[in-house]
Amino acid sequence: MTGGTESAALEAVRDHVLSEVVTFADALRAEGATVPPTATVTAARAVAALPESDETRVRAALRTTLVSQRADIDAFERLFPVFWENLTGSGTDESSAASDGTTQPFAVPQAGESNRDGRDRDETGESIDRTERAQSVVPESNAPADGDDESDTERDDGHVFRALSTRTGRSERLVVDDIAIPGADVREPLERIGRALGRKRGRRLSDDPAGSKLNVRRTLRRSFGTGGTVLEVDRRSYDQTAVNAIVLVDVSRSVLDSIDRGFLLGVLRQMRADWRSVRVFFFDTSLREVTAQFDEPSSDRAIAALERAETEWGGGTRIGHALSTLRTDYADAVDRETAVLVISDGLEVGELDRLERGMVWLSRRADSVLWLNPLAVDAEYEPTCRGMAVASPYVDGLFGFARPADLEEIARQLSLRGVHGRIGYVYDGRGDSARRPRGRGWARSDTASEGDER
Amino acid sequence: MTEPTASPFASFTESDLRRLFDRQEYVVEDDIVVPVLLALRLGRPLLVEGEPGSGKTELGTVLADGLETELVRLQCYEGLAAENTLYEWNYTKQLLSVQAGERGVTDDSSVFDEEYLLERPLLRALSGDREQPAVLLIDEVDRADREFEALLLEFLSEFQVTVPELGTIEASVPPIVLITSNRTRGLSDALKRRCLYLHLEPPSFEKEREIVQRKAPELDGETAAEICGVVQRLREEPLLKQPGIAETLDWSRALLELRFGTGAEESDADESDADETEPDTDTALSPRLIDRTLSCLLKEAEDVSRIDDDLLEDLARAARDARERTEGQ
Repeated sequence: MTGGTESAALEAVRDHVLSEVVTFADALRAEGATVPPTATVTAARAVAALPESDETRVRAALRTTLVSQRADIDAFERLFPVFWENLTGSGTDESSAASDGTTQPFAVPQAGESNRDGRDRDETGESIDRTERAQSVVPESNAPADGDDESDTERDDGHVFRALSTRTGRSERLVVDDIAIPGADVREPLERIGRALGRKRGRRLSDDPAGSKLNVRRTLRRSFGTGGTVLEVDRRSYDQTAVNAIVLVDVSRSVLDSIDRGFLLGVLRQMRADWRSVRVFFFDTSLREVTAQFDEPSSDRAIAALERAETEWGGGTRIGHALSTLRTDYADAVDRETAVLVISDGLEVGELDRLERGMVWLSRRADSVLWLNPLAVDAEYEPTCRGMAVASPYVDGLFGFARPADLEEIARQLSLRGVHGRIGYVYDGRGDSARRPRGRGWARSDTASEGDER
Repeated sequence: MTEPTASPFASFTESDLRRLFDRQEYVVEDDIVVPVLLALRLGRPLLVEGEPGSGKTELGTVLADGLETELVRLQCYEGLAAENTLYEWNYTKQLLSVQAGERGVTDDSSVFDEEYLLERPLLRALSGDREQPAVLLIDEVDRADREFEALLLEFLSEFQVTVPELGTIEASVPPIVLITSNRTRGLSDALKRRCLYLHLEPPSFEKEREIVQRKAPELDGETAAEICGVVQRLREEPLLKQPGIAETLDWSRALLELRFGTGAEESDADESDADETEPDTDTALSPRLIDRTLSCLLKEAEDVSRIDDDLLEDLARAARDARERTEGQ
């Protein structure tokens, strides 16, 4: 065998193994097992690291890498024989002797019909087809991030729906493929949110009997009906819809594992573009303003500007320290007309006293404080972690925030009830509302009167 | 896609690992050897779950002893804070030093020096000039709060700790990380994603018998088989707390003490009075003996109350069967 042929054969075997591992992970997910997105890559590495690849060892290696909880072991054990049969029955040298030379269908005993159907369609496809199909079953919700490999980044109809994360977990230079959020997805809810948060005079005039502006055209038109005599003067005033906001974005590892970077940057960019005045701060263990970087005319240039500014992702989470820095170094950023949006999971590792002092200051100083928490998209979420428990009494609303639909929900609640009304994740009308701990909601308006807080 | 950094165990083989476990009298099967080998070769943390007493902590101890390296253990508990896991400043020493400086006793310019730093387990696992990586055992992580998990994510990603006053302390050799959990609560997806996973199942009869024989060599093979037969039968019952390997070993030692220790004579006399009809009362486990020593195996009152005479007979029968099987081999 020549070197080239050998290399091609090795590559074919590698592709076959990878393909089968991905298909196996796909089948496990279809059975309800939680298989992390990076697990397939780790599994392939694990198989490569095995000294001997017999069934027992491969089984142990895959169980170690594809399974992450006890409840999934049964499904693994049930599906593994099929995987092994497919792996050893086709695609390798041995497989060339197979009767039809095709990959065996992943006909899983008691597997879901959808899996069987999907596999049948893929039966004659190339391995890449199966890889793509496997990726498509990753749940759209707050899917776990790829902790090690950005190659797992995937999109569903153009939507980024899984968090990109760093490969090593350390603070690293900002890397984002692009800010690929379709404008309509976030623009419309952001406009509604902006109108609800706005406390400054907007450009739009609306009818207001007590307004200071005279609506001359309508007044004249009405006077035609009374022979030119003006019986009533129509007045208008400017809407209070222009937003003065600051956005504090927690870029620690735990947040970046829960929220898609492209989505996050897309939302920030859209806020900066549409709202009257928005200042953006990133924080992890320190606070830094990155507003100017979002003013670049294109997404690429915005990312390049962030990179030039040596903006980093993923340190620890010291929210109290960030608020303290905001208070001392950027005191002018917050006034009585400012809406403050904190994007964080609240997993504070700093001093809780400091966090509480910061939140008290923020709630007194700002018009409103909204906390957007990527963990709160979970139906069973409760703000019980220490950081969130300390901060939550001082915020006007705590919302889940991980995808465009969450922005829709925030906009809906703010439009209906206003920023100081009964808002928050506990009033999220989506899904099974019975799972929401309504009786234990904590929205500030529930626990204390506005006067007490301010 | 980045390739993982070269692990110091890249050339560590399965037989090396088996020999290591063997030297430490730790009985393993493929379902443990392969995950541990992969954790070493890939340099990934290993999340070990299993019932209490299944040998999770022991695995860390055995690895450290076998590799002749330091075992750094972090026992997790509710309210575990960063300063308890990373580092603290020795305030008393700093204060004394400052006071001494004011009196002109010392001219130390800074009290924020390594001399005043108290290393906690995570930092300790990184520091020092080791040729062999330390084994960092993060025990019962499910007892800690989610904030600690977030901290752990940072640590496991980079294996470095930044002390603002000193700079960044990075491991010359990343530690071998074992994280154990009793599954009292679910761990975050982010943490699980970074770890390889090993669930320690209750051992098979053969494996358990081998463990008992290694850990309690004074017991003969038949008695060890009896003990394991009873425990295996007991695990078939819907108990609140299934007996783990630790309980089996406790029971073995208790029986050893009763049979050959100070209370042996009295025990045997009682046995012969009470179970005159039983065969081989001097060697086989009798229902009465099992009943008297059940507290070594069962740790819940409800479980103890579940054991009636019929079940005791079943257990004794299981012991006899196991003995006969062993004698037939």
